[in-house]
Amino acid sequence: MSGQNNRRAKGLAVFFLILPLVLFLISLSIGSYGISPRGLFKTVLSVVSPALHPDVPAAYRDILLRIRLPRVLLAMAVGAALSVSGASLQALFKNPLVNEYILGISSGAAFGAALSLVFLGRAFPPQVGGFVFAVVAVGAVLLISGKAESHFISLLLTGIIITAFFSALLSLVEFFASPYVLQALFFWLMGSLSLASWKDLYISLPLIAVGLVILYLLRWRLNVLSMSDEEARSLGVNVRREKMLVIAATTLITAAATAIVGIIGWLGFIVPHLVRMMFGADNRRVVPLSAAMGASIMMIADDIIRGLSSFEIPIGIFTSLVGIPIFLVLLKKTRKVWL
Amino acid sequence: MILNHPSGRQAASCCWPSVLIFFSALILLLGAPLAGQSQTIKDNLRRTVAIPPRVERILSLQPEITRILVALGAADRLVGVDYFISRDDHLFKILFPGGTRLPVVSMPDESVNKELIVRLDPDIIFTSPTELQVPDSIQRSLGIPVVALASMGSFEGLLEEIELVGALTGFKERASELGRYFQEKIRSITESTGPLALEDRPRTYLAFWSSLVRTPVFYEPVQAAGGRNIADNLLPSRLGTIGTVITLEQILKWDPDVILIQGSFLPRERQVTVEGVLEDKRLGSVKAIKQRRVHYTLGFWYWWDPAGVLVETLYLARLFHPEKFGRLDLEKEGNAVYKMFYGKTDVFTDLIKSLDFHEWTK
Repeated sequence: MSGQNNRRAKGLAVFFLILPLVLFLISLSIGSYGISPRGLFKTVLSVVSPALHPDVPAAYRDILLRIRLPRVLLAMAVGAALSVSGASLQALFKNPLVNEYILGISSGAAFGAALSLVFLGRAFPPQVGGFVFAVVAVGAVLLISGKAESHFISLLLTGIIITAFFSALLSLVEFFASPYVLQALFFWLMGSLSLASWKDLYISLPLIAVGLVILYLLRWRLNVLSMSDEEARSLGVNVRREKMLVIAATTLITAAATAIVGIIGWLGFIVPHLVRMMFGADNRRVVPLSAAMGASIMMIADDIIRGLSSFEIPIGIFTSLVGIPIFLVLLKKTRKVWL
Repeated sequence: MILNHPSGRQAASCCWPSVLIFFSALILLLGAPLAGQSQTIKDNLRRTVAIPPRVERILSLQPEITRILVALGAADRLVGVDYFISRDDHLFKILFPGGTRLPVVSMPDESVNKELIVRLDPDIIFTSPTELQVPDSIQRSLGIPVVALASMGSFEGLLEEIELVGALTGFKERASELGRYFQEKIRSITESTGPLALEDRPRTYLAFWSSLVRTPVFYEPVQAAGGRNIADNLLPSRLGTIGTVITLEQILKWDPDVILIQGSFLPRERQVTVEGVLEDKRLGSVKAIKQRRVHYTLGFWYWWDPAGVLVETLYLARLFHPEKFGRLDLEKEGNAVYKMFYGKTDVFTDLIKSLDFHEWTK
């Protein structure tokens, strides 16, 4: 019976690991500009060899290569980044209520983007300001909480305080900003993939990839770090160094994702719980499966936006609408929450 | 807001004018002012508001109404304004320099300083209908009549507004004069373009509100100038507004003949620029990009400036139909329109300079 369950779990895990690839292909065919599967295929062939299908309209190539492809890739990367970040921090803090923004990343990024829009204008991308201040916010949290006795409680509290501090700074910038700048800022804060471009990917993808690889390599250590510090040390782990490494990697990927697409709530909270409810709390499985499931949910949410509505809806709404019902069904079925 | 109609895409666009006319008629029926008597009007939020017989002290938190009051000659009755008109409206400083010294009652986050309102003791307060809770909140707590009005991209709405504000403040004749002038100008444009078949109207995409993908679902200057707003059939993405957010793909699907970018901001504050759109490779296959028909237009200016929207319509007519309006001296016409509304000379010339709209005067 147990063997059968194991095989079922393995099969399900393989399914979830393959799902992003399937969704990636499906997502490329979804959008308000109707391109048939045959048209898409011909477009791909014409990209490989323009002589094969010279009759493919230029709009098809622009839509596939310059609009859909960067958008779907960005959705995958951001979904994976936020989910793995949430999973790692929940394991590290031994707290199921932690999310990817707990260390002040979201408010730091929002303040940085606002500052950039107000003082540097369009000449400087707000994403850079967002990224820099996301890192500054986490740096401030680590610096302030560094010498406290009960370090991780202190980290959480400092994270909350720094979030409040940067939120206040954001309000101050908003107060002095011109209404036109505010319009751009509010649009960014809503969280959206609507203007995704290759430039966004060039900026964010390498950072997200580096962070994800680090966290993937550290996945078994997350299990050790989930124990008490004494137990972890007895297993030969340099607890402080490893924890700082995890925090640095999660900061890197969350800041890179947030700076590009704005603040997308709940994903990093829901997805790790979904994975743990389905596959248990072993971080060797939780980390890669969170990446796969986060990427999948993000792509499904974006597909709904691009396929069903005539206008863009902030993607955070749909990640929650897709993720929360699944979360509730699983919660009811398994009747447990991981810790 | 009264302009939103939930019964479908087609209905949303075709019913707007009739809904407007219906409520405009209601406003006039309920609000026919009689000297020495209090009047009752219905505002754009369908609120019934009792207005005192004499309106001497006016607090305007709606930039469009503030500009109308100045155009009517009621500027000296203003006792306070909103933060935008006082701080960010570069044109208003030219039109009414005294306005910058008026107390500022509202803040950027739409909060209102009620204590200051009590001190200013206005007879009436104007707000915009998008701030849904503000009118009732102020009226309930302070007992001062609050009227929520905005034209929402419609000439009918703007004309009704001018007439209503004129009637409420005792400047009825001036309001009629401005209304007639506005209508005559629009009529002269539509007569010059003549009856246009749908295919003769350039299909126009409007990139407004600091984003390439935010667009108004209703914008009458385009229609009046002989063009066609290709987002006209969409529903607004938020109730109480006329804006929606579309996908980049949708722009390619529409393949507009012309792209207009909101240019009422000072050049340094523009997030979307003509140059940026022309260089955007994602839109490379769009007809407007290929033919380099990407231009600035004024667009909303925290609602409209009545003179500005008239000049904008003239500009768009020349842009859409150069064969009919090629000889139009826009700078001369623009200055005449501003002179008519605000009594100041060369305002449009100053505006062109500050907005870097040199293309307009070519």
